[in-house]
Amino acid sequence: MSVSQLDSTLAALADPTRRAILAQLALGERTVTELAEPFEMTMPAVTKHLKVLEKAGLIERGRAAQTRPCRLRAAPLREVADWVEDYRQAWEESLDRLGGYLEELQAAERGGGRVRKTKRRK
Amino acid sequence: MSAKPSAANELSFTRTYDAPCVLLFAAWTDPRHIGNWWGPEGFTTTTRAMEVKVGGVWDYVMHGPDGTDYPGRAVYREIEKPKRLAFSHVGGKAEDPHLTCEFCVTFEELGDKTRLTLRMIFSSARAAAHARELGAEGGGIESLERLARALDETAS
Repeated sequence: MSVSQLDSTLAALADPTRRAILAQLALGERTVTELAEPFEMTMPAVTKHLKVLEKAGLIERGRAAQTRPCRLRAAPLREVADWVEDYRQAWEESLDRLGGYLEELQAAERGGGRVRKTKRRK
Repeated sequence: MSAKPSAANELSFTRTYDAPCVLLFAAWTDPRHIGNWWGPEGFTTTTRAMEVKVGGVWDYVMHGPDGTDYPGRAVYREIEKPKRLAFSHVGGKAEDPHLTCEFCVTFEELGDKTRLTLRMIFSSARAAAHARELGAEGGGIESLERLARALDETAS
């Protein structure tokens, strides 16, 4: 996933209304009217959010009929989840290294690590 | 040690280290220490500047095992020595460095040991600014993973 794609996905998801719209769409297709209902929002306001989501590739609109129902697109969501998982792995490693480094530091303070631990601070 | 995959744009880690709080805090805030562990296995980190004060900057370059450089920059938001540290972090490849993550690290003394809790909230520079504008807290995407799962289930 490119950083710019990730960025646009995260930007689209940063807004709570858009997340709620996606949650609605996770249950199935919805028309704009149906989506506007639970939010007590005007149609233009909902349409504006839908445009952001569509641009980020998170939804698609049907071409047929006037209602143009909205559908969720899963791929970008999964890509974000995968990317975060990679980041998690990297940080597990980094925190392991931190543990190793702390041991080294304390061993050095104790003079080679043979001396019984005394509570010293640096 | 644990990592919670609770929210798709948020990660948290908790680990207990056999070291005093002050040493943990120093490992995060002393340029002589941080380069020795920051980054995944096989990476090294060079600090270009580090000024640990609110609004101060840590400017560094992380060198990948394949020779790729990843410049990074942290701006300190909260410093409470030796218990708490929060900073906004921007990192990534040099040509596209705008991914932002808010870090919050706490160090809790447990006798001779220290429990470290690290929380990272991902965002993008744009998304973070937008969220602040809207007064949204952190710009979380808490329902993302649930959503992806629901999709997996409904997809046929």
